[in-house]
Amino acid sequence: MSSFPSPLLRRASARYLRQHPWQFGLSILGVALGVAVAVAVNLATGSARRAFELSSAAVTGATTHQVVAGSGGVPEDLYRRLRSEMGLRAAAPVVEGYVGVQGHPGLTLRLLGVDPFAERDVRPYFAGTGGAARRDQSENASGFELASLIAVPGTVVASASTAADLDLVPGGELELVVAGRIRTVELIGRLRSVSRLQEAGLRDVLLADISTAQEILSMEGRLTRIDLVLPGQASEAIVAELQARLPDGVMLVSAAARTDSTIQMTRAFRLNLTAMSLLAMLCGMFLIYNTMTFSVVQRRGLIGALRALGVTRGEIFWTVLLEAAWVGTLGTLAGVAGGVLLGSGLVRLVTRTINDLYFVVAVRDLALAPTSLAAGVVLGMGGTLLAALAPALEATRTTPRAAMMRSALEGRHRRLVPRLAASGTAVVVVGAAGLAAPEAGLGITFAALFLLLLGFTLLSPAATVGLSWLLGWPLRAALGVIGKIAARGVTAHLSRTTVAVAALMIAVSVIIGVGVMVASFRTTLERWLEHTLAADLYVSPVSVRGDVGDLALDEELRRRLLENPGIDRIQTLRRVQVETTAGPVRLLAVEIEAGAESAYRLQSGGATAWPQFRAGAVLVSEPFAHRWRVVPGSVIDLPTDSGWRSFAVAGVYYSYASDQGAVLLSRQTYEQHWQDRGTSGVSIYTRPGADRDEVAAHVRRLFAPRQQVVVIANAELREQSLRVFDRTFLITSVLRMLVMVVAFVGVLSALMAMQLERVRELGILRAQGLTPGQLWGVVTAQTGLLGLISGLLALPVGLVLAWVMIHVINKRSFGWSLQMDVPPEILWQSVVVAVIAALLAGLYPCARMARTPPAAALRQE
Amino acid sequence: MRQPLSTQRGPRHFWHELLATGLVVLIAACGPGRDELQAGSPALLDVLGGEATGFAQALEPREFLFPRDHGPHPDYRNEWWYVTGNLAAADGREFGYQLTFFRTSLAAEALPRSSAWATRQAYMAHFALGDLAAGMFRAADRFSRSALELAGARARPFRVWIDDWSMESVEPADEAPSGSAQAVLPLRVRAGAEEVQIDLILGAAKPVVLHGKRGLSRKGSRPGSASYYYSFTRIDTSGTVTVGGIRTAVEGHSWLDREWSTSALEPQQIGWDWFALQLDDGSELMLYVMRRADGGADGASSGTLVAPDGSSEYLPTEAFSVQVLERWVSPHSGARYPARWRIEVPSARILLTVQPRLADQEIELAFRYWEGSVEVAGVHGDTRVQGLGFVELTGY
Repeated sequence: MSSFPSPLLRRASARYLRQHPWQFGLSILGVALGVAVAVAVNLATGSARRAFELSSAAVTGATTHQVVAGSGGVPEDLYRRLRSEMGLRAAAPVVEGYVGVQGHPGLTLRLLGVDPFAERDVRPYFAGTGGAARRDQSENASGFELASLIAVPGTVVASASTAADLDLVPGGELELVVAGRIRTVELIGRLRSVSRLQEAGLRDVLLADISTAQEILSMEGRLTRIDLVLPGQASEAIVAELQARLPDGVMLVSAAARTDSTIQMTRAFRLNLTAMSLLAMLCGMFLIYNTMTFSVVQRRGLIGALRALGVTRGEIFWTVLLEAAWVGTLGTLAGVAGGVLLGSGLVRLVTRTINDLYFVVAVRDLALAPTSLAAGVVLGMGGTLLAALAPALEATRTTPRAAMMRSALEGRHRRLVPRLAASGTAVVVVGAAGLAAPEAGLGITFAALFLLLLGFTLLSPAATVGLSWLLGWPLRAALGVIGKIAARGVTAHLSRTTVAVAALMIAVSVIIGVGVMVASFRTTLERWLEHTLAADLYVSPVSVRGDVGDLALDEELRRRLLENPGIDRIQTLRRVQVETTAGPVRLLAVEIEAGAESAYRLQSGGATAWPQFRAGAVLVSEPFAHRWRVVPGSVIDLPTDSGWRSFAVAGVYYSYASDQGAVLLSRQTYEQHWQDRGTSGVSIYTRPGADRDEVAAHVRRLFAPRQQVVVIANAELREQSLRVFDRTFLITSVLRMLVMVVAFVGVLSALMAMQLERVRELGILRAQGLTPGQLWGVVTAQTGLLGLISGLLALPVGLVLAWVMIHVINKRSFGWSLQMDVPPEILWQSVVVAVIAALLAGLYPCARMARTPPAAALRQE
Repeated sequence: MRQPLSTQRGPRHFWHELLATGLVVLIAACGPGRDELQAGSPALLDVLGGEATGFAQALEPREFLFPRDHGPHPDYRNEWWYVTGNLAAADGREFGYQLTFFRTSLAAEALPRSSAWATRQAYMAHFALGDLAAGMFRAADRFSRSALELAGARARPFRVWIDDWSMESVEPADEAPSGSAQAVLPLRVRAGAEEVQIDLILGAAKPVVLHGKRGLSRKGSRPGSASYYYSFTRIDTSGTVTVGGIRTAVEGHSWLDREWSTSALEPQQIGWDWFALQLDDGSELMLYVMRRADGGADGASSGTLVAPDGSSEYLPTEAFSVQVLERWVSPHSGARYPARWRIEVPSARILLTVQPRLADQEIELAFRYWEGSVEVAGVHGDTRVQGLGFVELTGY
C-alpha cells in the first residue's frame, strides 16, 4: 500500500473538494440521479414481479401441475373421474375469474372459487398446519361460517387487508360486476392465520365456495382448472401417462412453467425499462468523468508540484480515485434512497402498464429487494470509479514539468481528437454489427446500442471541432470580437468542452430517440386503428382487466340487434384464450365477408392468404409470429375441443392490439373445432343516413335489462385505444425526462466548472477593458455555442437511436413493425432544450465573474 | 352415540365438532370469531346456531322403514354409518377395523342453486385398521361435499361413499320385501390408506336391534337430546385385508351402527365411553356412558343387551356399572385413556372384564379419540363367556 495517498495528500484532496462544492455537489447529484433512476426502475419492476409471484404462490399453493382446457374450461365431471377413477386424491377444482366492484372504479378482484374439502393437500395454509389445527381445536370453533360459505349462495371471504381496502366488515355486501351483470355477495368472514406473504399474495382475492364462484361467473358445469399435487418424483412418464388418460382438449401443464410463462410475458417490457434506466446512469457517468477530468486539469499545477516533491504516480492515482469514491459513495447513498422514493411512484406506472397489457396484479407497496439495492450500489460505485479511471490515469501521466504547462495538455487533447474519432468509428462499426446480427438476443442488442452511443461519444470531439469552426463564422459576424473569443474558446479548451458536449449530446439524443420512437409508435397505431376500425359501433359486455375472453354477449339479445332498422349489418368477434404447454394463446374468431378483408393488412402471406384462411388456415399477428417464430407456411398446433389440431399459417397480419399476439381464424373454422358459440363483441355497420347515436341508444336499451354492455362509436374507441397507449408510455416519458434531468445536471456542472476555471483568463479580458456586459456576452455566446453544437450533434445520433429502437429493439422485443415518423417539433425542441440548458449553465459563472473585480481574479494564482 | 368429540370442554355441540373437523381445511383461514359473526350475520346463526333451528329433531319414537332408513336423512343435522369388526386370518393373524361415514347438514334448508357443486351435505369418513399381533395401527380420513357423485348416500340401491371408500349393497335390494332391514345385505365395504386396504363382504346378520325406546336413544335431558339409533350387532364378515401389498383372506364379525339426530352434547357432558361387545354365547352388549365434567356418569347413559335369538332388552343407567381398572397414557398426545374395565349388568347376571387387544389404537386425525378392538372375558348367567368387541373413548 505504499502507493496509497499519504495523510498530507488526503488533506490536500479534502481541501480541494471543499473549495469546489458546486462541482462536486453536482457530481454527487448526477450519480445520485443516475442510481436513483436505475434503482427505482429495478424496484418497481421487481415489486410487480414479486407481487405476481406471491399471488401465484398463494393461489397455486402446493400445486405442481394443472389440468386446463381450451376456451370452455375443464368439464367439471373430469374432477370426479380424476379423484374416484384415477385415484388422484391431491386434486382441487378451481373456478376463477376477474370481477369489478361497483363503487370502486378501476378495481379488479380475483374471485377464487375452491372446494374447501379438497384444499387440504393443495392450499394447506387455508387450513393452517394440519397438526396445529388438530391440537388447537378451540380455534376451530368458528367453523360454522365455513358451512355458510359452502351452503349459502353468494357468500365470500377475503383477507383482512382486502376487506379493509373495500371498507368491508363481515356481514357487509359487495356488488360485483361480472360480464356487465351485477352480482351481490356478502362478505361473511376474513381469512386469518395466513402468513404475511400469503396475506400479500391474497390481496384483491375474494375466496368463495366453488358453487358460488360458478354461479357468479356463470360457469356452471365448468372449471377453470384442476390443481394437482403430483409427488416430487413424478417423472415425465407419469405426467405423460396421466395426460394420455385425459380427454381430448384437456391438458396437463406444469404450474411452475405456467407462472413462468406469465412472468416471461413482461420480460421485454422490463428489459426496455431497465435499458432506459441505464441510459440515465450513463449520463451520470459522463458527469463523473467530466468532473474528475476537470479536477485533474484544474490541479495540474498542484499535481506537478507534488510530483516534483516526490509524490509517486500511484499516490496521485489513488488520490483521484479516492475523491471519486467519495463522490460515488455519497451519490450512491443518496441515489439508493432517492430510488426508493422514486420507485414508489414508478411502481404505480409499471403496475398500470402491466395490468393494461399483460395480467392483473395488485401491487400496493414497493418491495425493497436487497438485490435491487445492492445492484444500485454496485452500479453507482462501479460507474463512478470506472468513469474516474481515465482522469486518474491522466493525472499520473502528468510529468512534473509538463504539468505546469497548460498548453501541453490542450495540445495533447487536440492531437487525441483524430485518434478518438478513429476508435469511435471502430466502436460504431462493432455496435452496428451487433445490431445487425439477425439472431442476437435482446441483451446483446442493448449492449450493441450502448456501444453505438459510446462510439458516437468518441466521435463527438472531432465533430465539435468541425462544428465550432463552422459556427464560428456567423458568430463572429454577429458579435464581432466577442463572438470570436467565444468561438475560439470552444476549441482552445477541448479537454473540457468535449466532455460537456458529449454528455449533452447523449442526453439530447436519448430525448430525441425515445421521443421519435414513441411518436412513430403512436402514429403507426393511429393509422392501424383508422384502418382496422371500419365499423360504426362496437358492442361488447362490460369487462374488467384480466378478462381473457369467455365473456359473452347475451345471445338472444345479440340476434335481435338486426331488428333495428338503422343497422345495416353486423360482424361478430369471438375472443378466447386457449392453454398450450408453452402458455396461453389468444384466438380471435371473426366473420369476414368477402371484400372486407382489407381491415386486416397483411405483412406477409400474399394473395393466397385469404382463400386459405377461408379454407381453414389461420392468420397470426406480427407479435405472435415473432414470439413463436412462425412464418406463412408454418403449422401451429392448437388444443381444440377435440384434441390437438394442426393449423396452417396462411399469413401474418399487422396488429398492435397486444404484444402477446393472437391467432386469427374464421368463425367457421372456430366452430368446426370448438363447441363454444359465444360472441365477445359485435361490430355494427349502420345504414347510410341512420342516426348512430340513436342506434347506440337502442342497443343499450335492448341489453339493459339483462346485461351491461359497452356501445362505443368508432372514433371514441380509437381515442380510448390511444389513451391506453399514452398511459402505457407514460413511464417511458417519465424516464425520458429523468434522463434529461441527469444530463442537464451534467451540462450545468461541466460548463459551470469550465467557466469558473476561466476566471483568470476572463480576468485578463476584464483588465483589458471588457465590460461586465461584454463578459456576459462572451460566456453566454460560448455556452450557447456549446449547447447548439450538442443539440446539432444530437440530431443524427438521436435519429439513429430512434431507428434502432424502432426497427431493432421493438422488433426484437415485441415483433412490431413500426413506421418511423419524425415529428419536426421533437427535433427543434431538443436543440432548443440543449441551448437553454447550456445558457442556464453559464448564468452563475457569469454573475460571479461580473461581480469579481479583475484584480482579484488575476490574483488568484 | 358414537360421535367422536374433541378434548374441548364446555358447552359444545358435537355437530360443531363434526363441522369443525370435517371442514378443518378452511377453518384456520376463515376466522372471524363468533362475536364477529353474530354481529355481522344473524341469519347465519339461525341456520347454524345452538338451537338447531330448522332441522328435524328426534323427539318421538318413529316407525323405521327399510330400505328407506338405511339411506340418508338430510333434514337431521348429523348421521352416520359406522362399521367396526374383528377379523382373523387362517394363520391366526388378527385384525380390528373401523370404517365410518359421517354426514352433516350445513344448512337446514335446501336452496335452489344452479351450480352442481351446490350442496348442504358434507361427508367425512374415518378408516382405521389394526394388525394386532404386529402392533400396527393405521388411520386415515376423507372429506367431501355431497355433489357430483364425489360423496353421498342413498337407500336404494344402498350405497354410502367418499371417492373410492364405500359401503354398498352387493346385490341391489330392489326386490327385497319391504320392511326387511336385512335386505340391504350383503354389503361390500372398501377402504384404504396408503399401505393398508380392506375389501370385505358383510353377509348374514342377526336382526336389526332398535336401541333406547323403540329406536329413540336418549343422550341428555333436553327434549332434542336424542337420536334414532339402530344396529346390526353381528354380521358374518369375510374378505381380504391388505397390509404392505400382502393380501390376506380374513373372516370374522362386524357391527353396523346407524344413527341420526340433531342433538348435541349438553353443557355438563364432556364425552363418552362406548362399548360394542360380541360374546361367544351368541349375545351382544352395547353400552354408552355419557361422562360429566365432574367425573361422574350422566343419567342419559344406557345400553342394550341382545339375546342370541335377536331379541333385545333396554338397559337404563341404573341397570349397569362400568368400572375403570387400568389406564393408558398415549405417547402421542399425552391423553390418559381408560384401558381396562369391569362391566356389570346385575339383572342379566353379567360380569365382564374388557381390555384392549392393542394399547395404542388412538386416532389422531382432524380430531383425537381412541377407538379400538377389545377382548372380553367373564360370565353371562351360569356360563363363562369370552368375546371380542370395539370401544370408543372420546373427550380425553
